[in-house]
Formats: sequence, structure tokens, C-alpha cells
Amino acid sequence: MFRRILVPTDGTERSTVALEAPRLAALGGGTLIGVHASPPPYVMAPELGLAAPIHDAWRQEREQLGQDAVAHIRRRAVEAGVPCETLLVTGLPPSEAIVRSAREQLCDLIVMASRGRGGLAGRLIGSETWKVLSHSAIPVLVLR
Amino acid sequence: MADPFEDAAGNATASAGTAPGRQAGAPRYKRILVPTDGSDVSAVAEHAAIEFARAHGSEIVALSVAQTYPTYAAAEAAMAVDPNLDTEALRGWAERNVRRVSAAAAGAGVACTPLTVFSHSASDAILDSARDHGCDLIFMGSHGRRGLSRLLAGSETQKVLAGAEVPVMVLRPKPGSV
Repeated sequence: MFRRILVPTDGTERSTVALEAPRLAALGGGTLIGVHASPPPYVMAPELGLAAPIHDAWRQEREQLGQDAVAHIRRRAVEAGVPCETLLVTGLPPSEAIVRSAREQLCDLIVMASRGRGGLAGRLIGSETWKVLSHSAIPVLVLR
Repeated sequence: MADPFEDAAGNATASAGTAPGRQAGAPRYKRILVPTDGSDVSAVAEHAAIEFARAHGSEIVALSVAQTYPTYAAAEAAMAVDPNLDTEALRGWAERNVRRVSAAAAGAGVACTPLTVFSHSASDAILDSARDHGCDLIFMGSHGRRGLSRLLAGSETQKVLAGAEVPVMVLRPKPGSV
């Protein structure tokens, strides 16, 4: 039923999203598109000249994190026998990157966790998830 | 072939259901809860749920929550108004909502259990009904471009998302449809 399923991942929702999304894709003959969004870098007093090395290290770490996260989705997809594409998006707030990727990749469903890495513990659901729900034109399957 | 999910975390394995024969194609999403409040926003969720149910061989539980307000009793006692009038009107409203979903489901050849519940809290009623009726998926509309759905206004949706033990499909009305 769903042909292209976007699976945003920050690497923390291993147990739910990474299992449910491939299953849903397998049921309907769909393709998974795993996406990791790195938020824009924090700019630290660029005039001091300290920013570049710190930024490089930070970017490297973020990229490794993103690679690991989408690799996990890909592994699950392969195990479930489901086609999978992966995508790293940098420089946008995660919710914006997710909504934009869904549009650009012509997805018809987003599967994501109700909360990710960030946000306040006291919130009912993650702020990025809530923003995706408010802005996505396509259905969003929210998992715990 | 090895179980594709065997190296998953413990809680993931537990939530994935019974181990034998558990495959990507095994029956899932057997029963879908569809809360409805008669609004255009929930109509979008109803249509999507029926379509999904037909594609996946699921059945539907249509729920309408007749939302009662605890303050009514005191106010009505003071005014010596028969509170049953209000209760009956609410019940009728809720039953009309679920009948509409039942009819649409029947038209699509999808089994549908109509359900009306009196509750102070829509989100509690949704979560309780999902549990009581063994639903493994909930379909809900989010708020639309214009006007908020009474039942599914932001805070109620948040509470359902936070409290649901099963996946929740959140649908936004298509631009121009609301």
C-alpha cells in the first residue's frame, strides 16, 4: 500500500522503528528510505579562529553517527528483504529536513519514534516529532 | 533461514509478537482503532483506515467518545435540569458518528465494530478502548488547516501518542479538503 516509506533515524529508536518500518514495507511491497538529519552546527565565536577545528571534529562525529544510524535501518531492511535507500541531510533542523526529504523523495509515509535523542524528558512527545506531525502533508506512523 | 530479528534488543523482540513463523508477511494490524468525532479531520482518518484495512485484511473498531464534563452535574443540579437530556443527546451524537464509519466500512467490505464510550477524557477513552479491544494500530487525524477537530485537538493527540502501546497513524487533511 505504501510505496516509499521515509524512516528518519537519530540512532536511538533501534527497537521500534527499525523493526516496524521494514515489516510495513514488506506487507505492501514498499521501499524504505532511511534518513538521518544533522542539525546546523553551533557557531562558536568565529573571530577567535577556534571554530574551524572544533567544527571539523564535530562534523566528523555527526557524520559517523548519521552513517551508523542509517546503516542500522539498511541492515534491518536487508534482513526483511525490503529495498532500502539511505540519505544524510545536514544543515537543517531535523523536522524540516524530514519533511523536505519526504517531499523530495516522493514518500507516501513517514515512520518515526514519538521521541528521539533530544528534547525535555517531561514532554509527552519529542518536539521534532511534533513538528513533523504539524508540517507533514503525508501520513506519519508514530511509534513508541 | 535465521530469524531476521534475533539480534534485536530484548524489548524489541518481545514487542514483535510470537516468535514462531514471525515473518515480514505474517498477519499484523489485525484490528485498527479509529476514533471519530464527526469532523472533516476525522473523516480523513476514517477513509485512510478503511483503505488500509482493506489492503491488509484488517478489521476496524470505530470509536466515538461522548465527552462528559464533570462540572455539568453540579451546575445542572443547581438549575434543576434533567441531566439525562444532555446524556441522551451526546449518546445520539456519538452513535451517529460510529454508524457513519460502519456504513463506509461495510461498503468497502471491511468488518467494523461500532463503539461509543462516555468519558471525561477523549485520550483516556481512546487508549482504554485500544487496550480493551486488542487493537494493534490507531488511526487519527491531526488538526487541519482551518478549525480544530474537537476530539483530536493537539493536546489530545499528544496524550494518545505518548500513552499508546501500539503504533499511531496520524493523518493530516489534504490541502483544500478541509
